[in-house]
Amino acid sequence: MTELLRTEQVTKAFGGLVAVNDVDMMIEEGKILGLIGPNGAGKTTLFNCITGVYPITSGEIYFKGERITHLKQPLIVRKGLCRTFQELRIFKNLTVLQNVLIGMHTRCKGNVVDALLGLPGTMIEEKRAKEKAIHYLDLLGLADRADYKASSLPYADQRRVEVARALAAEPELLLLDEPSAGMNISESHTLTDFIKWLNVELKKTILLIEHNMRVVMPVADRVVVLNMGKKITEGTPGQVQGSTEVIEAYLGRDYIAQQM
Amino acid sequence: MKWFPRKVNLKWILFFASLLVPVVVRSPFVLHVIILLGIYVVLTDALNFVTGFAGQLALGVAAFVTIGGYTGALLMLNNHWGFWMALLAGGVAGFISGLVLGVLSLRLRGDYLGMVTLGFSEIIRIVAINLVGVTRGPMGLPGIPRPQIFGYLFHGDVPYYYLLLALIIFTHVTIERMLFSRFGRACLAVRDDESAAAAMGVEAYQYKVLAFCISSAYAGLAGVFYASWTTLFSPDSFQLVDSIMISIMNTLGGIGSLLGTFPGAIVIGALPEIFRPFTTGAGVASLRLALVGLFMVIVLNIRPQGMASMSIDPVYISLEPIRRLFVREEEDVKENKEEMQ
Repeated sequence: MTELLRTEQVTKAFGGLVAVNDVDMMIEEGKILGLIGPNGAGKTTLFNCITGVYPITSGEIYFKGERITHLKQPLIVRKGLCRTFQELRIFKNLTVLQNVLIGMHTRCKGNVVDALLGLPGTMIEEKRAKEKAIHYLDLLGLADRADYKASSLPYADQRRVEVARALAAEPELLLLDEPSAGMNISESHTLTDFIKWLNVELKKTILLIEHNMRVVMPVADRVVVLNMGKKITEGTPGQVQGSTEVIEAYLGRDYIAQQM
Repeated sequence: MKWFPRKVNLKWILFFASLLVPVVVRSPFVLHVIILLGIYVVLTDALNFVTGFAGQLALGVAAFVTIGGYTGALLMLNNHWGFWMALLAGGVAGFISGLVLGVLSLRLRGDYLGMVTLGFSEIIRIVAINLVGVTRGPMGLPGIPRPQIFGYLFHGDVPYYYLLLALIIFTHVTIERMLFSRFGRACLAVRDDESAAAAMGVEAYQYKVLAFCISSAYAGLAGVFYASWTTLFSPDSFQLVDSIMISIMNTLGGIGSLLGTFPGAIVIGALPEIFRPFTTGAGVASLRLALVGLFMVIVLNIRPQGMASMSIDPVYISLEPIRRLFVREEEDVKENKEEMQ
């Protein structure tokens, strides 16, 4: 198996607060890596470091063997990394189709002048982009709602729009930030199948931040556990679940003492 | 009977109606006011492009009108450029000054950007007043030449009306083209959620700057038109009050709507003129603006999203009632049946 993404001693400090501290992590191609940890562990910060939202304080990030440490977001997206957000962040005033088309931004070329001139090449590109967008919507069962305003869809569908938008960027590595946020048990069950489907059918490598163990444990090939910005352990879901360090991080030392 | 359309795009109705305006309107005063309103439409479109579509609060439209107006006027007066080249130069001047201000200020957000653009607008006015050697200061530049086309010299308001109509159509057609392209979508995405747009690979800052430049270019074009129409351009031609009026027009018409700029600019622009007869005499003159304010409060209470809300979809007007006069119902039914088969 080839490695897709590797972080080496990634550290991100906001002034005196070290949100991510010396994290080494590696994702193999075609696998699902779960990133878990209690609130404030630095999971989303690490995400933001990888996708170029924050410049990192020290360390290196490699994608497909290429150093992407200080690249800007658009370039990183172009390389094949795309993310979703923990709190839903679709473009509310745009249609579902437009949302997905924005996901394809880095895959198209037309600029203002092209738009003003309306050259045939630009028109064809635009038409192809639309067809592709419809294809992604179709995959997620949203094709019939392409022209709806995104904010008019129910919550679960809006999350789908967000995934369709990320898929439209044609990423090799998909970063999902707490996709089960705001979902009930049965919905998160469906989500588990969905993540597996993304991995198996669409052959996407996935980095998954999750709070909900019901979602992460059945799908992840490996799990990395963060606490207070540091990686405390890594392993298969089974290994991690048994680790005292993890139980301590989540439930506190007292809990372990009681159990003994 | 397919020959009779069932619906028609509102654009076409507006277009044909506006062609007839100088024929219907006989009063020179009213036509003069209408041209002024048309300039407001262009400026509201310009503002709407940056505020409504790219989501950046800009309050200094007047600055770019002034820059465009002076550029055009000076080139015509000193360098004897023709109107058309001067018009183009005014647009380019607007674009470049938009680029300068945009690059410097568009890292700011919301109110702060608003303040910088407002400040810039004042700086431009003060420069225009004090740069006496070039602009003749508060006296303004008189005798700005009129356009000429195929030997026909524009004079009187009627040809200017049609010239302005062409400018409005140009503005709308280009805006619509840009809006429904990769560029326009990226701007809308930046407006809705800048960080989400960035996460999708949209270079948010570049798009904001570009939208700002384009908006300023439209303002520059309008400035040259205004200079030639009034044949006088002075630092007072467009100032802070006008910027604010244009913001109000945009807000009431519907920020981020494609056709809302028309009702916004026309209603707000026309109100002071409508109230004029009732509020003559010293002291009551300012009452006109108070009445505009009252109108604003009422409209925004009823429709907080503005008259046309945030719609960029084409508006269609149903022609069914008129169609019935020409096409009998049975024919339609028969045709539908044929289509079904």
